[in-house]
Amino acid sequence: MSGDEMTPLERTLTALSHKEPDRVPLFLNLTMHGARELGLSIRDYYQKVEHVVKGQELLMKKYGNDCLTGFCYGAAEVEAFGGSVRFFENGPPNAGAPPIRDLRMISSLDVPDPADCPPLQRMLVATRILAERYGDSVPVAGVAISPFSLPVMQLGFSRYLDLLLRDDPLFRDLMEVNCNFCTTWANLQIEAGATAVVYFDPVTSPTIIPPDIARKTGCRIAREVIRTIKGGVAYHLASGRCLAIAEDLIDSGAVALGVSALEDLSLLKDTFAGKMALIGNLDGVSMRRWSGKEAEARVREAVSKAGPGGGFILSDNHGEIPWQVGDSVIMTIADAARTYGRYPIA
Amino acid sequence: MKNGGNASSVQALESALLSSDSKGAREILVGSCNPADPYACISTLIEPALRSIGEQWALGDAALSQIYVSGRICEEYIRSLPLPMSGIREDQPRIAIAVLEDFHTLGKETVLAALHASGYCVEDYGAGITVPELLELVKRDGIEVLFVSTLMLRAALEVRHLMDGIHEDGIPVRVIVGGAPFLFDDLLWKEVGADAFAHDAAEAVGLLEGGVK
Repeated sequence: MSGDEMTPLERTLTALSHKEPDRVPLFLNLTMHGARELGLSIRDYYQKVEHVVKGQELLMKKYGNDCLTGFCYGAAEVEAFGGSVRFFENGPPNAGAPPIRDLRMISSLDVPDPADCPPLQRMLVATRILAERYGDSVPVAGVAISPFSLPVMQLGFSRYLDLLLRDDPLFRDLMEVNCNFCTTWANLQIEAGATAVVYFDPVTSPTIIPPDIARKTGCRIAREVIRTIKGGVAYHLASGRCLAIAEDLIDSGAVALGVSALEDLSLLKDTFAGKMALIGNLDGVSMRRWSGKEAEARVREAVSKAGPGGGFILSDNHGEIPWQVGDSVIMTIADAARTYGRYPIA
Repeated sequence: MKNGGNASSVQALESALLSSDSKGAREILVGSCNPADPYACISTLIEPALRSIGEQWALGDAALSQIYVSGRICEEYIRSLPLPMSGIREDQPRIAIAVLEDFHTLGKETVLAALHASGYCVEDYGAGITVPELLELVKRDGIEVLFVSTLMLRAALEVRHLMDGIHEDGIPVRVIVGGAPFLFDDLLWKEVGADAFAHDAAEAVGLLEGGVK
């Protein structure tokens, strides 16, 4: 790092303030890849806090990543509600069968304590260690699944949509429990030292539900919950579209927004400039087959569209880079971000 | 005589479906369709309306929930008809559908509803199915067309192993894949060796009718 370079934290905070830092911050959302660095299976990697901390440290050094995270996998939140998780050798742990088998269970559902859920506790300890070691110079991201999107794992997607679309009183009961859980979990991460929390809310995306329903449900819930989180929040639609609910997202209280490769980055920039910083929007699914040239071109295109004026963090569009994306592609992305993302952007 | 849809009834049905107006949609279906000829209703009214909604979703102008609800409404109507014992489609292939490995069933339910709404009989193998389990089920039931839904890239890549197993065992089944990984990477379905890829439920039905080349 040269003497006049900003720290990753300074770079990120400047970008979030809609000003131009030294270069576009690069958030490589690498959760599983630490296992590869340590020569461990994904399951073993996630069993110990020291693995996750070490993995994050190695990945930051290797790629010059501008962020760290104690986050491991989203399905851990449903474990707090009695759900199970399936581990795989070459992909993220996935939620097992939905734990709420009978909708009548919702009315007697208690708000679980994250302290009673070992995987959430491990994430919290990893966050605390990373924040203590690096928090003054590198942003440490927490992650909380939105109360509105968590039921996909709690109930299953189609049963949840049935409940949501018929405006069942049980939907409101479930949201009350989930809102309390989300606030508690997000604030525990902030107290552990997370710089900000990513509010993960794919169901609110117009890709999944129509904007008029999103406004009455997911957007309203987001506004209520985000104001209870005692730290900065980035809203993430997990590769879903956002433009049709842009004003509602701006009003959510979040400072940044994870945007999709399905929408044009120039249009997104015009829409959100000065209102929400953008995080995205490299497509992680096709990323694994990118040639060096293509990876470089994609980075160059993204930073040239969304970088000028600040307010942009280069990242993937889903919030997690797949296990199948190899070292050389990630390295090319990182190198290209440093080359083409330097301000002033050509 | 009622014989299905014209352009205005297709548009009216589409509009009712997009609004999740099941009562209005049913009135249009009842008013336009001859219960003795459900196939005409399907081919001239239901399928064009569902196809249009699918196209709007691909462009970002409709939501996945609207495809899901639209299929369910049309499915309910078709199920309410006094169908002949032979079914609506006499010469249909043996069809099955499954979610490979995970429990995100929305894509499967959406395709299943559209297939039912189009008069097809489908074996539903559910969710969380592994490749070996799926191979056994396909062999046991003599399935000729298999729809496979995936959410995660990892599961999408598992289709390669499914196809290898199908070829090794010489199973005469055509495999149509769908789900988010295939939407984001339009080369992926060919890479894993699937026979076809459906962007949405209506396209899945269309592929079936086209014979899944």
